[in-house]
Amino acid sequence: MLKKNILYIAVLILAILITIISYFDKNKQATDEPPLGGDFSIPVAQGSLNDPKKEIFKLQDYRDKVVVLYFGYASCPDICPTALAIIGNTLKKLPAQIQAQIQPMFISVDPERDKLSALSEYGKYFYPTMISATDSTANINKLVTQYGAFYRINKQNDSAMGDSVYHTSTVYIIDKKGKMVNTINHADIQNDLESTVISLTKGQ
Amino acid sequence: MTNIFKKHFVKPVFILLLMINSTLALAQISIKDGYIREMPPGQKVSAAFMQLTNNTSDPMILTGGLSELTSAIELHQHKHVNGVMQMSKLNELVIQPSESVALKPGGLHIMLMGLKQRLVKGTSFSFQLQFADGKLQTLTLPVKSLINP
Repeated sequence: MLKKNILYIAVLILAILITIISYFDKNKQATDEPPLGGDFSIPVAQGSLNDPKKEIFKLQDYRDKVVVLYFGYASCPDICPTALAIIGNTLKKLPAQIQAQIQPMFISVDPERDKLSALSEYGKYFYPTMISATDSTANINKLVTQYGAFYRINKQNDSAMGDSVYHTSTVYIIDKKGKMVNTINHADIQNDLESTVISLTKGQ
Repeated sequence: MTNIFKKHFVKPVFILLLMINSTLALAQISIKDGYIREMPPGQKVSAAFMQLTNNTSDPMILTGGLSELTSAIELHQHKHVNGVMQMSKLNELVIQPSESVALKPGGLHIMLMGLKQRLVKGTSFSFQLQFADGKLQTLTLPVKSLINP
Protein backbone atom coordinates (compact mmCIF):
# COMPACT_ATOMS: atom_id res chain seq x y z
CA MET A 1 0.00 0.00 0.00
CA LEU A 2 2.75 2.40 0.97
CA LYS A 3 4.79 1.36 -2.09
CA LYS A 4 1.82 2.04 -4.32
CA ASN A 5 1.36 5.54 -2.83
CA ILE A 6 5.03 6.33 -3.32
CA LEU A 7 4.73 5.26 -6.94
CA TYR A 8 1.68 7.52 -7.44
CA ILE A 9 3.49 10.46 -5.87
CA ALA A 10 6.59 9.82 -7.99
CA VAL A 11 4.52 9.77 -11.19
CA LEU A 12 2.71 12.94 -10.10
CA ILE A 13 6.00 14.78 -9.38
CA LEU A 14 7.39 13.65 -12.75
CA ALA A 15 4.27 14.92 -14.54
CA ILE A 16 4.51 18.29 -12.78
CA LEU A 17 8.21 18.57 -13.66
CA ILE A 18 7.56 17.79 -17.34
CA THR A 19 4.79 20.42 -17.41
CA ILE A 20 7.06 23.06 -15.83
CA ILE A 21 9.99 22.26 -18.14
CA SER A 22 7.87 22.31 -21.29
CA TYR A 23 6.29 25.62 -20.18
CA PHE A 24 9.67 27.30 -19.80
CA ASP A 25 10.87 25.72 -23.01
CA LYS A 26 7.90 27.18 -24.91
CA ASN A 27 8.53 30.62 -23.43
CA LYS A 28 12.17 30.36 -24.37
CA GLN A 29 11.24 29.55 -27.97
CA ALA A 30 8.84 32.48 -28.12
CA THR A 31 11.45 34.97 -26.93
CA ASP A 32 14.05 33.56 -29.32
CA GLU A 33 11.94 34.61 -32.31
CA PRO A 34 12.59 38.20 -33.35
CA PRO A 35 9.54 40.45 -32.91
CA LEU A 36 7.68 41.46 -36.09
CA GLY A 37 8.39 44.87 -37.54
CA GLY A 38 11.54 46.94 -37.13
CA ASP A 39 13.64 49.29 -39.25
CA PHE A 40 13.74 49.08 -43.02
CA SER A 41 14.55 51.24 -46.00
CA ILE A 42 12.87 51.26 -49.41
CA PRO A 43 12.98 53.28 -52.66
CA VAL A 44 10.08 55.72 -52.98
CA ALA A 45 8.22 57.27 -55.90
CA GLN A 46 9.48 60.69 -56.92
CA GLY A 47 8.03 63.52 -54.84
CA SER A 48 7.01 61.20 -51.99
CA LEU A 49 9.45 62.69 -49.47
CA ASN A 50 9.76 66.28 -48.28
CA ASP A 51 13.26 66.48 -49.68
CA PRO A 52 12.89 65.85 -53.43
CA LYS A 53 16.52 64.78 -53.63
CA LYS A 54 15.85 61.86 -51.32
CA GLU A 55 14.77 58.70 -53.07
CA ILE A 56 14.97 56.22 -50.19
CA PHE A 57 12.63 56.06 -47.23
CA LYS A 58 14.39 55.03 -44.01
CA LEU A 59 12.19 54.21 -41.04
CA GLN A 60 14.93 55.34 -38.63
CA ASP A 61 14.48 58.90 -40.01
CA TYR A 62 10.85 58.86 -38.76
CA ARG A 63 11.34 58.59 -35.00
CA ASP A 64 9.15 61.67 -34.48
CA LYS A 65 6.23 60.17 -36.43
CA VAL A 66 3.71 57.40 -36.13
CA VAL A 67 3.99 55.44 -39.38
CA VAL A 68 0.79 53.91 -40.78
CA LEU A 69 1.92 51.21 -43.21
CA TYR A 70 -0.14 49.32 -45.81
CA PHE A 71 0.97 46.65 -48.30
CA GLY A 72 -1.05 46.34 -51.51
CA TYR A 73 -0.86 46.86 -55.27
CA ALA A 74 -1.98 49.77 -57.40
CA SER A 75 -4.03 47.82 -59.97
CA CYS A 76 -6.13 46.44 -57.11
CA PRO A 77 -9.66 47.65 -57.97
CA ASP A 78 -11.49 47.21 -54.69
CA ILE A 79 -9.77 46.14 -51.45
CA CYS A 80 -6.61 48.33 -51.55
CA PRO A 81 -8.30 51.58 -52.60
CA THR A 82 -11.02 50.97 -50.00
CA ALA A 83 -8.44 50.53 -47.23
CA LEU A 84 -6.28 53.44 -48.40
CA ALA A 85 -9.29 55.76 -48.74
CA ILE A 86 -10.41 54.91 -45.21
CA ILE A 87 -6.86 55.62 -43.97
CA GLY A 88 -6.73 58.96 -45.82
CA ASN A 89 -10.26 60.03 -44.89
CA THR A 90 -9.69 59.11 -41.23
CA LEU A 91 -6.46 61.11 -41.01
CA LYS A 92 -8.01 64.15 -42.75
CA LYS A 93 -10.56 64.45 -39.92
CA LEU A 94 -7.85 64.74 -37.23
CA PRO A 95 -6.56 68.09 -35.92
CA ALA A 96 -3.60 69.46 -37.91
CA GLN A 97 -1.12 69.01 -35.04
CA ILE A 98 -2.02 65.29 -34.81
CA GLN A 99 -1.88 64.84 -38.61
CA ALA A 100 1.61 66.38 -38.59
CA GLN A 101 2.78 63.49 -36.37
CA ILE A 102 1.50 60.76 -38.70
CA GLN A 103 3.19 59.37 -41.79
CA PRO A 104 1.00 57.08 -43.92
CA MET A 105 2.77 54.82 -46.39
CA PHE A 106 1.76 52.50 -49.24
CA ILE A 107 4.15 49.73 -50.33
CA SER A 108 3.36 47.87 -53.55
CA VAL A 109 4.07 44.12 -53.48
CA ASP A 110 3.68 44.04 -57.28
CA PRO A 111 6.87 45.73 -58.58
CA GLU A 112 6.47 44.10 -61.99
CA ARG A 113 3.35 46.13 -62.75
CA ASP A 114 3.87 49.02 -60.33
CA LYS A 115 6.88 50.95 -61.53
CA LEU A 116 7.95 53.69 -59.14
CA SER A 117 7.52 56.27 -61.91
CA ALA A 118 3.81 55.39 -62.14
CA LEU A 119 3.27 55.47 -58.37
CA SER A 120 4.20 59.11 -57.68
CA GLU A 121 0.57 60.28 -57.68
CA TYR A 122 -0.97 57.08 -56.31
CA GLY A 123 -0.50 57.52 -52.55
CA LYS A 124 -1.08 61.27 -52.74
CA TYR A 125 -4.50 60.61 -54.26
CA PHE A 126 -5.60 59.08 -50.95
CA TYR A 127 -3.77 61.50 -48.63
CA PRO A 128 -1.55 64.45 -49.60
CA THR A 129 1.57 63.21 -47.78
CA MET A 130 1.11 59.46 -48.26
CA ILE A 131 4.39 57.90 -49.42
CA SER A 132 4.33 55.35 -52.26
CA ALA A 133 7.15 52.82 -52.45
CA THR A 134 8.21 49.51 -53.92
CA ASP A 135 11.37 47.47 -54.38
CA SER A 136 12.74 44.33 -55.98
CA THR A 137 10.73 41.17 -55.34
CA ALA A 138 13.51 39.85 -53.07
CA ASN A 139 13.45 42.96 -50.88
CA ILE A 140 9.66 43.11 -50.86
CA ASN A 141 9.53 39.49 -49.71
CA LYS A 142 11.98 40.26 -46.92
CA LEU A 143 9.97 43.25 -45.74
CA VAL A 144 6.62 41.46 -45.96
CA THR A 145 8.02 38.61 -43.82
CA GLN A 146 9.56 41.11 -41.39
CA TYR A 147 6.14 42.65 -40.77
CA GLY A 148 4.15 39.41 -40.80
CA ALA A 149 2.18 40.34 -43.91
CA PHE A 150 1.43 37.90 -46.74
CA TYR A 151 0.96 38.06 -50.48
CA ARG A 152 1.09 35.68 -53.40
CA ILE A 153 0.93 36.53 -57.09
CA ASN A 154 -1.39 34.12 -58.89
CA LYS A 155 -1.35 33.67 -62.63
CA GLN A 156 -4.91 33.97 -63.92
CA ASN A 157 -4.85 32.31 -67.30
CA ASP A 158 -8.58 32.74 -67.84
CA SER A 159 -8.60 36.44 -67.02
CA ALA A 160 -7.44 39.60 -68.80
CA MET A 161 -5.94 40.84 -65.54
CA GLY A 162 -3.07 38.36 -66.02
CA ASP A 163 -2.02 38.23 -62.39
CA SER A 164 -4.15 38.45 -59.31
CA VAL A 165 -2.40 39.38 -56.11
CA TYR A 166 -3.70 37.45 -53.11
CA HIS A 167 -2.84 39.59 -50.12
CA THR A 168 -3.54 40.48 -46.52
CA SER A 169 -5.23 43.85 -46.11
CA THR A 170 -3.81 44.98 -42.80
CA VAL A 171 -2.64 48.31 -41.44
CA TYR A 172 0.65 48.19 -39.50
CA ILE A 173 1.07 50.88 -36.86
CA ILE A 174 4.66 51.82 -36.03
CA ASP A 175 5.20 54.07 -33.00
CA LYS A 176 7.69 56.92 -32.64
CA LYS A 177 10.34 54.51 -31.38
CA GLY A 178 10.14 52.55 -34.63
CA LYS A 179 8.36 49.65 -32.99
CA MET A 180 5.41 47.96 -34.65
CA VAL A 181 2.85 48.23 -31.86
CA ASN A 182 -0.42 47.38 -33.53
CA THR A 183 -2.02 45.79 -36.56
CA ILE A 184 -5.53 46.59 -37.76
CA ASN A 185 -7.42 44.15 -39.96
CA HIS A 186 -9.22 45.38 -43.08
CA ALA A 187 -12.69 45.24 -41.55
CA ASP A 188 -11.62 47.19 -38.45
CA ILE A 189 -9.76 50.12 -40.07
CA GLN A 190 -12.84 52.34 -40.08
CA ASN A 191 -13.46 51.82 -36.36
CA ASP A 192 -9.98 51.42 -34.88
CA LEU A 193 -7.50 53.54 -36.82
CA GLU A 194 -8.46 56.92 -35.38
CA SER A 195 -8.25 55.92 -31.70
CA THR A 196 -5.04 53.94 -32.29
CA VAL A 197 -3.12 56.81 -33.89
CA ILE A 198 -4.50 59.37 -31.44
CA SER A 199 -3.30 57.27 -28.47
CA LEU A 200 0.22 57.18 -29.97
CA THR A 201 0.43 60.88 -30.79
CA LYS A 202 -0.83 62.14 -27.43
CA GLY A 203 1.50 63.77 -24.92
CA GLN A 204 3.20 65.95 -27.46
CA MET B 1 -58.54 72.91 -81.08
CA THR B 2 -58.77 69.16 -81.39
CA ASN B 3 -55.91 69.14 -83.81
CA ILE B 4 -53.75 71.24 -81.53
CA PHE B 5 -54.59 68.93 -78.64
CA LYS B 6 -53.69 65.93 -80.75
CA LYS B 7 -50.45 67.47 -81.98
CA HIS B 8 -49.18 68.82 -78.67
CA PHE B 9 -50.46 66.32 -76.18
CA VAL B 10 -51.68 62.99 -77.50
CA LYS B 11 -48.83 62.43 -79.89
CA PRO B 12 -45.96 63.25 -77.44
CA VAL B 13 -47.60 61.24 -74.67
CA PHE B 14 -48.10 58.34 -77.01
CA ILE B 15 -44.46 58.47 -78.12
CA LEU B 16 -43.33 58.78 -74.48
CA LEU B 17 -45.40 55.75 -73.45
CA LEU B 18 -44.02 53.80 -76.37
CA MET B 19 -40.48 54.70 -75.31
CA ILE B 20 -41.04 53.75 -71.66
CA ASN B 21 -42.65 50.45 -72.62
CA SER B 22 -39.94 49.53 -75.07
CA THR B 23 -37.27 50.34 -72.45
CA LEU B 24 -39.02 48.13 -69.92
CA ALA B 25 -39.35 45.35 -72.44
CA LEU B 26 -35.63 45.55 -73.21
CA ALA B 27 -34.55 45.85 -69.60
CA GLN B 28 -34.21 42.18 -68.77
CA ILE B 29 -32.17 43.17 -65.78
CA SER B 30 -32.89 46.29 -63.77
CA ILE B 31 -30.00 48.08 -62.15
CA LYS B 32 -30.17 49.95 -58.87
CA ASP B 33 -27.58 51.97 -56.94
CA GLY B 34 -24.97 51.46 -59.65
CA TYR B 35 -21.69 53.37 -59.72
CA ILE B 36 -18.10 53.10 -60.89
CA ARG B 37 -15.14 53.99 -58.74
CA GLU B 38 -13.07 57.00 -59.63
CA MET B 39 -9.60 55.83 -60.67
CA PRO B 40 -6.42 56.86 -58.84
CA PRO B 41 -4.03 58.72 -61.17
CA GLY B 42 -1.77 56.50 -63.25
CA GLN B 43 -4.05 53.45 -63.08
CA LYS B 44 -6.02 51.70 -65.82
CA VAL B 45 -8.54 49.67 -63.85
CA SER B 46 -11.76 50.37 -62.01
CA ALA B 47 -14.67 48.50 -60.52
CA ALA B 48 -18.41 48.86 -61.01
CA PHE B 49 -20.86 48.06 -58.24
CA MET B 50 -24.66 47.74 -58.46
CA GLN B 51 -27.70 45.75 -57.56
CA LEU B 52 -29.01 43.57 -60.38
CA THR B 53 -32.59 42.28 -60.48
CA ASN B 54 -33.82 39.73 -62.99
CA ASN B 55 -37.19 40.87 -64.38
CA THR B 56 -37.67 37.94 -66.73
CA SER B 57 -39.20 34.57 -66.03
CA ASP B 58 -35.97 32.76 -66.93
CA PRO B 59 -32.61 32.60 -65.14
CA MET B 60 -30.21 35.21 -66.53
CA ILE B 61 -26.54 34.33 -66.71
CA LEU B 62 -24.21 37.32 -66.60
CA THR B 63 -20.80 36.53 -68.09
CA GLY B 64 -19.06 39.93 -68.24
CA GLY B 65 -19.19 43.11 -70.21
CA LEU B 66 -18.12 44.99 -73.32
CA SER B 67 -16.84 48.47 -74.10
CA GLU B 68 -14.58 49.88 -76.77
CA LEU B 69 -12.99 52.10 -74.15
CA THR B 70 -11.62 49.14 -72.18
CA SER B 71 -9.42 46.15 -72.99
CA ALA B 72 -11.72 43.81 -71.05
CA ILE B 73 -14.66 43.79 -68.67
CA GLU B 74 -14.97 40.81 -66.33
CA LEU B 75 -16.98 39.67 -63.38
CA HIS B 76 -14.77 39.25 -60.32
CA GLN B 77 -15.27 37.79 -56.88
CA HIS B 78 -13.39 38.10 -53.61
CA LYS B 79 -12.80 35.32 -51.18
CA HIS B 80 -11.59 36.23 -47.73
CA VAL B 81 -9.57 33.20 -46.58
CA ASN B 82 -7.76 33.39 -43.21
CA GLY B 83 -7.25 37.12 -43.57
CA VAL B 84 -6.04 36.83 -47.17
CA MET B 85 -8.01 38.61 -49.90
CA GLN B 86 -8.26 36.41 -52.97
CA MET B 87 -9.68 38.00 -56.10
CA SER B 88 -10.49 35.84 -59.10
CA LYS B 89 -12.57 35.88 -62.25
CA LEU B 90 -16.10 34.58 -62.02
CA ASN B 91 -17.10 33.03 -65.35
CA GLU B 92 -20.81 33.39 -64.80
CA LEU B 93 -23.27 34.77 -62.33
CA VAL B 94 -26.70 33.17 -62.43
CA ILE B 95 -29.55 35.46 -61.43
CA GLN B 96 -32.82 33.58 -60.92
CA PRO B 97 -36.17 35.10 -61.96
CA SER B 98 -37.12 38.01 -59.68
CA GLU B 99 -33.89 37.50 -57.73
CA SER B 100 -31.61 40.44 -56.83
CA VAL B 101 -27.85 40.13 -56.58
CA ALA B 102 -25.68 42.84 -55.06
CA LEU B 103 -22.25 43.60 -56.48
CA LYS B 104 -20.59 45.47 -53.63
CA PRO B 105 -17.13 46.32 -52.25
CA GLY B 106 -15.40 43.31 -50.73
CA GLY B 107 -17.64 40.87 -52.63
CA LEU B 108 -18.52 40.79 -56.32
CA HIS B 109 -17.66 43.54 -58.79
CA ILE B 110 -17.49 44.17 -62.49
CA MET B 111 -13.87 44.96 -63.24
CA LEU B 112 -13.07 47.39 -66.03
CA MET B 113 -9.54 46.84 -67.33
CA GLY B 114 -7.26 48.72 -69.69
CA LEU B 115 -9.40 51.86 -69.56
CA LYS B 116 -8.31 54.30 -72.24
CA GLN B 117 -9.28 57.30 -70.14
CA ARG B 118 -9.18 58.05 -66.42
CA LEU B 119 -12.68 58.00 -64.96
CA VAL B 120 -13.24 60.89 -62.59
CA LYS B 121 -16.15 61.75 -60.30
CA GLY B 122 -18.97 63.81 -61.73
CA THR B 123 -18.75 62.03 -65.07
CA SER B 124 -20.47 58.86 -66.21
CA PHE B 125 -19.40 55.81 -68.16
CA SER B 126 -21.40 53.51 -70.44
CA PHE B 127 -20.74 49.87 -71.15
CA GLN B 128 -22.68 46.74 -71.98
CA LEU B 129 -23.46 43.80 -69.77
CA GLN B 130 -23.03 40.51 -71.58
CA PHE B 131 -25.21 37.47 -70.95
CA ALA B 132 -24.68 33.79 -71.75
CA ASP B 133 -27.52 33.79 -74.30
CA GLY B 134 -25.68 36.49 -76.28
CA LYS B 135 -27.91 39.35 -75.18
CA LEU B 136 -26.33 42.68 -74.33
CA GLN B 137 -27.68 45.39 -72.07
CA THR B 138 -26.29 48.91 -72.11
CA LEU B 139 -25.96 50.78 -68.86
CA THR B 140 -24.60 54.19 -67.91
CA LEU B 141 -23.25 54.59 -64.41
CA PRO B 142 -22.04 57.64 -62.50
CA VAL B 143 -18.41 57.77 -61.39
CA LYS B 144 -18.02 58.24 -57.63
CA SER B 145 -14.98 58.93 -55.51
CA LEU B 146 -14.06 57.27 -52.21
CA ILE B 147 -11.98 60.24 -51.24
CA ASN B 148 -13.21 62.91 -48.81
CA PRO B 149 -11.82 66.38 -49.45
